[in-house]
Amino acid sequence: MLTRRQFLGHVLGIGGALAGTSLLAACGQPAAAPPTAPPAKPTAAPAAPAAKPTEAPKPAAAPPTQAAPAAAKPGGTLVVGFSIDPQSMDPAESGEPQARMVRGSIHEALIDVDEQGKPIPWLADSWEQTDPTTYVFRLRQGIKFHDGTTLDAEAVKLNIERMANPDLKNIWRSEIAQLDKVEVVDSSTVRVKAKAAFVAFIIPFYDMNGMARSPAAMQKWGTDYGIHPVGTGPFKFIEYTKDNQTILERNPDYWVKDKPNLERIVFRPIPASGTRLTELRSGGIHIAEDMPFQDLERLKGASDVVVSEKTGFRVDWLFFNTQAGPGSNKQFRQAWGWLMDRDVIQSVVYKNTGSPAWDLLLPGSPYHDPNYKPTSRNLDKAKDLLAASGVKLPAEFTVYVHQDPVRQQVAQILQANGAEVGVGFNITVEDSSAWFARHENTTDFTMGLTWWGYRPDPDQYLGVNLVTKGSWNLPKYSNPEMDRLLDAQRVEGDQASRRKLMRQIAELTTEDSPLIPFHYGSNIKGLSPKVQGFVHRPDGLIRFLDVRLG
Amino acid sequence: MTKYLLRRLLATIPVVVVTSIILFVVMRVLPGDPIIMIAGEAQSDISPDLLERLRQENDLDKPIYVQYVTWARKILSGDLGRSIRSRQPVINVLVPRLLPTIQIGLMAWLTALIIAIPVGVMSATSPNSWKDWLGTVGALVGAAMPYFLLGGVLIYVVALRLRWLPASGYVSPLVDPLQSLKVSLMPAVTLGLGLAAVTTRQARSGLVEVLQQPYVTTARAKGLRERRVILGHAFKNGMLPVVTILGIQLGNLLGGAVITETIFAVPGTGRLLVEAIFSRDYAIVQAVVLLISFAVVFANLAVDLVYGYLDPRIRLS
Repeated sequence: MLTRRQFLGHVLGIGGALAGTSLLAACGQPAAAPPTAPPAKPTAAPAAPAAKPTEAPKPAAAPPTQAAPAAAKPGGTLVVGFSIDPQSMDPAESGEPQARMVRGSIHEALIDVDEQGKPIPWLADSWEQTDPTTYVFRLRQGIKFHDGTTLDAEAVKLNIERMANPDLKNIWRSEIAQLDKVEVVDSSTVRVKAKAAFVAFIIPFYDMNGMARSPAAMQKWGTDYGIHPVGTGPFKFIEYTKDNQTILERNPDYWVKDKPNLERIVFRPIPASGTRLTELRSGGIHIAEDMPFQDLERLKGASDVVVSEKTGFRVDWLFFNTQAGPGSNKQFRQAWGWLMDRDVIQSVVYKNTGSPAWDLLLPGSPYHDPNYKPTSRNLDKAKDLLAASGVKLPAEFTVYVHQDPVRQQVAQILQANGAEVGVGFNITVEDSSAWFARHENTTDFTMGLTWWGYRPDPDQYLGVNLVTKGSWNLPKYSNPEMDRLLDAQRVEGDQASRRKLMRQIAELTTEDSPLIPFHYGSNIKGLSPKVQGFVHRPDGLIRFLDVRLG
Repeated sequence: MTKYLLRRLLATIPVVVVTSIILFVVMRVLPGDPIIMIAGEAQSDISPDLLERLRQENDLDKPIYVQYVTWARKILSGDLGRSIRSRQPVINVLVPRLLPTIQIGLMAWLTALIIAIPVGVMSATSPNSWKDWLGTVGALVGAAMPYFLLGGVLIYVVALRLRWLPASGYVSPLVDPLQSLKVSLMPAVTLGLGLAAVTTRQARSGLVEVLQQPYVTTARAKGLRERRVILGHAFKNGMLPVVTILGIQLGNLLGGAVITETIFAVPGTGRLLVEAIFSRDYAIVQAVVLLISFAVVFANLAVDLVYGYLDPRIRLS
């Protein structure tokens, strides 16, 4: 029985949760936690963490947050609640984490990365760098695709070449822009050549660009491959009904002995975060992604949900139009570094998850320096910079934000911060389509909010965001010195020296302020206490190889 | 009668044509474009040639009136085109989404009738009593309650607290009828309660008005029992406004489906429409709206036909 007080608490809880999330979700966009945004290009890839695949992978340690594990039974059906439908299981298609999790269970990549972003063997059990631009991968023997065909060097070559073919859609192509050619040495050896030396050249092959799809299936299904995927992974594709469910089944011939544990995985898109949470608590699903921030505090004491938070998932920032309007003035941009209240954003919007951010390098990366805090909230400093900028105050403009409650709240806090020194702006909400069109293709904006998700190597986001003509360089920023530094870090093989370059990049970013990072976001998932063997990776993608049901 | 039907059917054509033109223009005036949505943040990862080819394949490089004529010509030959985003034929995307929406819509309608008619009759036959007052307040609350709130409360109470029904999803009645009923019940009730509220008010006022007619007084004067007076004489007449409202509400029902299908994770037409709008998948949006406009027009036609049956004085000519 509920006491009256509990009942009121619950009613207020749902009221708040619903008002905040369901309505917005009902308007079609996934609400709550890591929201729409550039369907970030965080990671994906297959199977288990650091376990070396040649040995039978050790069961991963249960995260400390989990309830006392009962003995896990092999088999069982795991149901995962997504915020959106995976749409396509072709690795070349969209970048949403949901799709990548499904793809990564069906397909596997040449290599994997550990938590520090270092490459480890996967489908290739070893590789060597024969000269600064040449890598030779040796494939594991005897691996078969789900359709019975063999994974060989020809298949790997075909897959990589498809990803590099500009006539075919691959939204991950920029990550392998340095690829020169792929050659078959023998049936299990592939030589991959880069156009120029680049220390992180092979990293993208841990992800979508390195995934092996069955050449026979690609041939058979053509553009429909995305709904008929065939890989070598621990799970086989069984069924996909759009917006309802995607079903995968255990691959009995999987090359790692006695793996995977689960018999089936069902992925269900449940767009309203409140409903997803209820499904989790009532046992309808075992894992819920994107937990709503406002529910986290309340859920900490709950016995039917384990909340798992992983830092280093994404970085959010404010960016300026550096080509026109007040944002083209450096002092105006710099002023925002002293103006914005990172602590309030952290506590009010993100409910104390994640941490305040000052640069793009994600926590967890060996290049991240937690002590790099070049600015703090200081209105006098901000006023001085604004006065020096010559921008006429009060400055008035409009900031366009995604239809996403989290970013709208951030915009409101920045609005209040700006108002304190006479920089006033209006907030207009746009849907993703309109937002993309405006910020990517026009300079019809002054400031905006965006983010980028985890990638194992910082070049995968620094290059995209800061280099002149970078694919997500929304500020349209260009500084030859920045371009030079970005080039330099790409060939710097020594980690300590590369770290110094990364620091210079961070300092130049602060100095030029084309964008100002303010928050490192966490990935937050809700788990049923029955789920075991779950390892929360910074990319937020679940590898189901070691997951079990207790 | 046949002539009337034919004329009404012909009259649907301009309605549907005008609707489709308005939609065509509105979708293309909206900022954003489907090809950009396909590329997402990775526009520069996709060669301009490929983007241009995608644009051509979807006729997006042509002036809007050319696009419209091409589309209309295809529709007339029974071809709904292909989804811009998934490249699947629209018909293949759309057909599986119809059953959930129709099933839940019918169940909602039924819910509304089951609630509205008895409550309306009860309110009308004892006006200003506590029963009437309860019916009125209930209807007011039902009409004012937004779908997302009602749906959320139902999910919380029924699925989480009581554990009677699953919180979300959909199962086809062809696969598992019982499970299908269970999982569709909450969305149907969510949609149906709002409709019930409006219908109750109409049933009440319709019946109250009829009960004041001289022929009812006559019937009472003849010594007929009250039950007979209401059910035999007044009821059919008093239900005319109910039929109207149930017909008109079809549009609202489909609009509500957009929200309930999202809350309850139902793979129906409403959710398809919302997602297609956000990704600017013109082909899908056009097909769904075309379908909805046909449905609304036909519902109104059906209402008029039922009118003629309920009240023979209304001539359908």
